Amino acid sequence: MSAIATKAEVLKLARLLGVDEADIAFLSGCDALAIRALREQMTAKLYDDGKHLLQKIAAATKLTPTAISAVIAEKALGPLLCARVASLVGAEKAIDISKRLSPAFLAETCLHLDPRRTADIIRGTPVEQVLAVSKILQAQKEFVTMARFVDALSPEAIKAVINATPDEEPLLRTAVFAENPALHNELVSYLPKPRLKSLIAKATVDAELWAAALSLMSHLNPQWMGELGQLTSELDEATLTRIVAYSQANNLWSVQLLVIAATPAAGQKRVLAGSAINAPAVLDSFAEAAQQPHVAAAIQAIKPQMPAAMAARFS
Amino acid sequence: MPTAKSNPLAEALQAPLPPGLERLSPTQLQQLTAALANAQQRQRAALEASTEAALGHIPMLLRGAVRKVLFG
Repeated sequence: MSAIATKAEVLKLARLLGVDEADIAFLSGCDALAIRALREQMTAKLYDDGKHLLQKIAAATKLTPTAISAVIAEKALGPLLCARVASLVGAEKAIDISKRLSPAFLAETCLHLDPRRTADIIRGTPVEQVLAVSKILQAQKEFVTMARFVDALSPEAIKAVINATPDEEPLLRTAVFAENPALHNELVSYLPKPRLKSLIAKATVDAELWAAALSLMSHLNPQWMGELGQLTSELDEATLTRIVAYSQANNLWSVQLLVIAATPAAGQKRVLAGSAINAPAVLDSFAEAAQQPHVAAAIQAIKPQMPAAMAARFS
Repeated sequence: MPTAKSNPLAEALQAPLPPGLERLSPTQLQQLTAALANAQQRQRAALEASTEAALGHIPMLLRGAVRKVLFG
């Protein structure tokens, strides 16, 4: 799971520094939280650098009519400096200016914006504009950038983006990178059941997406984890077999077993009855994952629904 | 934990590096330091270029006041 978080943090740091992701790929061996802390230090450094002149630009912007400020923003400042100046201009003026900027320019500015410093502006941006920018970022597959804004956007704006996005795959790819995992319950609650079902089905297309789905599920409360576990258990036999293969190949059992344990009993029974999940190598992986006490507890919890031979392995 | 004295990145950040980055080699620390310095340099250059360019878009009536704010 942490590999996903680390990958996202490397990408965010590369974006901040204006380098290619491959240039700092050596950070992939580090903990995601350490890379995030480094990014925060570097962000502070870049925001402090030139702050004197940025503050002067912000002061001059306050003197200038909004329409002219918008022209200057797009034609002279450019997306990087707009991102830096935004937090210094004042939310009201910044929102007024942003209303006159093209969605393409705003989307590019989002790549450089620090949502924590501009939360008031992001929250005050009209929903229609958020939708237009999100459409561009989705087309560019800027899921990590979109995820940085999840924390700052209003629930209404997030719901509007979800409703305007017919495909659940980009939603999953965005949600998994959200910086505050506590928001995952909220995000999942915005999706009606048929869309959650579709999200789960689409996540089974490849191992990377399934790992992303499990990463998302790992942050959910027991109720939502159980809901998604139930939807997983309703997948056809061939898909369940594929999920077992993904979990086995990528060592995902420590989360997969927690999801199974949160699933209602009938769903557990169906998932545990498959031939693939009863393979000796898979049961060895269960045993290995059970070295973590919470996984051992999950295995004990699902034991009543296990086929006899599997249950005997964990007696 | 690496300190400002022991590596160039901590020195550039004027702060100890976050825990968890101890495994980075001197070369990797140097690469990150250079990337940060380049980003700072690009930002400074962009700031200087755009400030002058921005004045060209300001109406004549306001230009003096804005120039005063920007350049004193």
